[in-house]
Amino acid sequence: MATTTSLAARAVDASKMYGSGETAVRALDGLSVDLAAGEFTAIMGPSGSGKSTLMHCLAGLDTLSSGKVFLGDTDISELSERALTLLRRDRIGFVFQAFNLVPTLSAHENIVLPQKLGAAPPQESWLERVIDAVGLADRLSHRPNELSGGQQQRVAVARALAGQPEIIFADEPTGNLDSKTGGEILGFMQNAVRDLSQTIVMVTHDPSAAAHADRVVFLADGRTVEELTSPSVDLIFDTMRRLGD
Amino acid sequence: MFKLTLNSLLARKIRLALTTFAVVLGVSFVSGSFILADSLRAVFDKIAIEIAGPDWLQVRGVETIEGDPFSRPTVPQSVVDQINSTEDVYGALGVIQGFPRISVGDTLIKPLGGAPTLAFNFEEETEELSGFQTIEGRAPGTGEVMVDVDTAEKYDIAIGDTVTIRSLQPAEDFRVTGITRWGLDNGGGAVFVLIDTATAQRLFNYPDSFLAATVAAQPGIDEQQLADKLTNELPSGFEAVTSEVVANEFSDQFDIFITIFQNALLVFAAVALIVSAFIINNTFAIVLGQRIRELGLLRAVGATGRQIRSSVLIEALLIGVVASLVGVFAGMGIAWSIKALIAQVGDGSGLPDGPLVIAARTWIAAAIVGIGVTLLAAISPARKASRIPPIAALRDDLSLWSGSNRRRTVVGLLFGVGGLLATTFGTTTNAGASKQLALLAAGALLLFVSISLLSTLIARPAARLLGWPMRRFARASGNLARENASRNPRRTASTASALMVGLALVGMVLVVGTSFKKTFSSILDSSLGADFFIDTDGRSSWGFSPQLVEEIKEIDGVAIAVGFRGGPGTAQMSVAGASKDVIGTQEEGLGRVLDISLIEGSYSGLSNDGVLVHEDPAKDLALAVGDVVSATFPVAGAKDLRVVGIFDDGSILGNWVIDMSTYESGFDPARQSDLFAAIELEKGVEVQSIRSQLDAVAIDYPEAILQDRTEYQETIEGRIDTLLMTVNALVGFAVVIAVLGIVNTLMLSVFERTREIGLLRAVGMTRRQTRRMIRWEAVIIAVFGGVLGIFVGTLLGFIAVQAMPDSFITDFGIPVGNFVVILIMCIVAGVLAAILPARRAARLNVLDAIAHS
Repeated sequence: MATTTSLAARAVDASKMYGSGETAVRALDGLSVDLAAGEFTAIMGPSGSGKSTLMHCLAGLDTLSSGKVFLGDTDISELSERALTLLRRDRIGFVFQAFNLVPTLSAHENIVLPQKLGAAPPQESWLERVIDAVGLADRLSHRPNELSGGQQQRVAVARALAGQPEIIFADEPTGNLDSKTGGEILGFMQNAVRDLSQTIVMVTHDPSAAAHADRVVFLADGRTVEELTSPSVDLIFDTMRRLGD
Repeated sequence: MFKLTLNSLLARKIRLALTTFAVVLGVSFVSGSFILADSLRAVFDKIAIEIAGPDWLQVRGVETIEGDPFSRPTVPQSVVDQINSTEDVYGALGVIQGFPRISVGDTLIKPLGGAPTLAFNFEEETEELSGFQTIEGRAPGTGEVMVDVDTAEKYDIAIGDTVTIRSLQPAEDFRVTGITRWGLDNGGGAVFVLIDTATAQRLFNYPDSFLAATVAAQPGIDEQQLADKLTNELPSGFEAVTSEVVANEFSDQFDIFITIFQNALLVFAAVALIVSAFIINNTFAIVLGQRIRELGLLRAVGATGRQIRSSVLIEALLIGVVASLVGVFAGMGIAWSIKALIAQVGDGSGLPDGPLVIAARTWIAAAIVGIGVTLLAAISPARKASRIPPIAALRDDLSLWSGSNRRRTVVGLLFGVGGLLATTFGTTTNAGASKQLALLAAGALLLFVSISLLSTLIARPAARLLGWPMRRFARASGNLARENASRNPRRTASTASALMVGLALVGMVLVVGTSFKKTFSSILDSSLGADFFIDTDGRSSWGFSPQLVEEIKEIDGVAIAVGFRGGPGTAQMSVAGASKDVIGTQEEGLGRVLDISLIEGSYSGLSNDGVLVHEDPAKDLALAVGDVVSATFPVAGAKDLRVVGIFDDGSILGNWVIDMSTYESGFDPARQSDLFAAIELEKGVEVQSIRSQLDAVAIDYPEAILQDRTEYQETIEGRIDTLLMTVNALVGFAVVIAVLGIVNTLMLSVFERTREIGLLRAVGMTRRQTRRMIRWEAVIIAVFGGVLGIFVGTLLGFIAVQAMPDSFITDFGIPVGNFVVILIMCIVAGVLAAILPARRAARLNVLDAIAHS
């Protein structure tokens, strides 16, 4: 288990170009960031600031044009496609904005999907704790289309937690939810970090969502431009407004 | 709207290509059948004209049995003399045509593609009337022969070599004195030799007479007028016809054969088309299902339901047009393949060569079939698409196929009942073979549609059941495959149904074949008591020389040898105005070497102008033992036969059996071939010990195959297997189309599940696992189709066996081993079908797939 002082992941001088020549777009521009283990980090920034690209590269879904990305001590910029896949399966958890669940599998099957795909089987006690915490014990046999949007996201979070990954990436996890349900999910993620010692990195453009984080990193034009620790919603708003000018 | 259709077509290139390909395959089989038939017609028409010769008349006996060319009386020398002395006649030549067997050393000369081996009389002084042209050497004298140029080349025969000719007489050796050719390119694959007239008359039993006479008119004389004059002047019973008439008669004969062949191919083409229609229908349904939001948007911005429907139908029309065009060219490939297949099965002998002919009819048929089938298959998806409400543009959860399960069930059940009724009625009615066949085909089609509709109901549990073992050994991928196969029962069912159609026919053919083998095996046990059997080589019905049985009778230790005469071709006598197939044999041995299960009467008295009749025709004609039947024979004319026995088992000798003496006097000397013979040994004689003596005799008759009981059974079963393989190779084409349908469905499913596959890949599914998931889904669909196909095939096979006469089949057997092989092949087919879609799924860009819409 990682301690609060060690790093769960970091990017070093990360650059990402899309396209080439005249039409080239620089999504990440020599960006460096450290993500501490046991912390809930939010990454914010306007559209095109590179926050999604950063997350994709950190999570092994995309590769950098130059620079390095580390997961723990592993330099993932050197890994093969297959090694990246196994890395995602064994060491990373995901929560997407929508379409998080395989429609043909029950909630329970969705939660243990990475393990079914070959990751080490989850500890029964841990799994029970996670399921208990998301409050889905009575809906485990239901298919996604029988669950509400909030319930689906909770299943997604439970899946991300089930394998006790080194880091969980959440991409606008509340983007499709109303504010009350979204708040529940965020509170739940907060608890996962505090009580279950998990590490979560969340990409969002919603200040009230980011306010749940221990630390907020602001990006603009592919670089980190500002950082806040345990900010309030107002402070985040102010920072956004200031950066937007 | 048209531009929109075109754009939507081009936007979905892969799907479009796959759909078009399915139609192309169906069309290509239809046009291939026509191309092959037309090409054969062109070749045979040329051959017919050559056979008839240039501007010659033919004088011949008038058929005593209408439609049986073997029933023409011979032309005596006196008639030929009379023609020669007729005014306006340049010359007349008596022609003898025999059906000998010719061998070089131990090698029997085999003509191509079931063409005959022929011997003609030839004299140097009448060469210009003969149609033969001496290429090398000279005309034959007594004990000499000329060989046709192709045969000489193929078998490496040179002047001075010896060939053996066997006819009704014992084998005789002839010295080759020349090489000859018929017409410009030596006819159509027939093997022929020329011998002198006297020898020909002796060998083929034409005492001082001929088969016919060739007559040349004096220059400037009108052929038709001379023909009329000769017919008038010659004794009654003879006629003169022009070369045109002769050529047309040959053409018509070939045409009957080609038409049967063409229709058989068209049956397979129909199967291929039905399978294509299933696939096109399924593809349109899936694609429109995927475009439901797009179509909803069109409706929202003002397109009418009718416009949507037209757009879908125009899309189908364009696909149909393109597919028809391509299909005709692909049809040339099919025609070529079928020729190759026949050559393969026929052990080197094939159809005659010639250029491929694409007649206007082929284009029209291809267009009607290609466009028609595509439009027909698109009608129901187009109708459903036209009913998409504008709100579909805004909602995610609308389906094109909701809520119609009850209707499917009702319609499916109605079709099923209709199909069973039609097939059952088809097997029991007496409406005639063509009507029966039409009823059976319609019934089978109804059954196919019914099963395809009803299989939707069982697709989910079936896919779960079939996927169960995969869950064990392919774990997560297997489980997902299983869920994927059962998530959309309609799609799984229609995809599997296409395979079902092809496999049902394969299954039916196998069931009939197995039943036939079983029937044969029980006949061998119960009815064939002989120790040895002599059979022809199976590809021709030319039979073998009766001399063989005579020689075998002389061997010590042989108790009885019985020949069964009826060839070449099929000997027919006329009873009560209808032609009846008839077999000649001897009284002695019937009931022992061969038991046809007498119900009434006995075998004795057969030799005294008796006849044995099967109970069915006996019942139809109200015949009882002791009754007298008037039968008309080609040569002997009308003759009274006394019914000595009525029998039950028509599977070996058919329905009418007469004595050998009756047969010999009743039929032309050219039609005295044994088709089959049975030998029984004396008590205490070992099969092994006498074998070498029998073989020593049989070796001189390479056209006959001598076999003991075990060998005989194996041969017959081997022949059935060859036939089954040929039929199944043609039906296999439909199976290929069906497998393509699986590819199509999976491609579309992968496309549809892009985000889901992206998610799976994101949370750690490897590419290999992704491929596996798609692969096992394909296997589940294919095996589901296989199981359905075997079920329907067994059902159809059972109906077909019931429909066939007892003289052909009595037992019912299920080819369990073959069915296991089919299921294994389904697994393989599934794996193959998944290659492309699985690759596409595995290569999916994860980021694109999960990117927010």
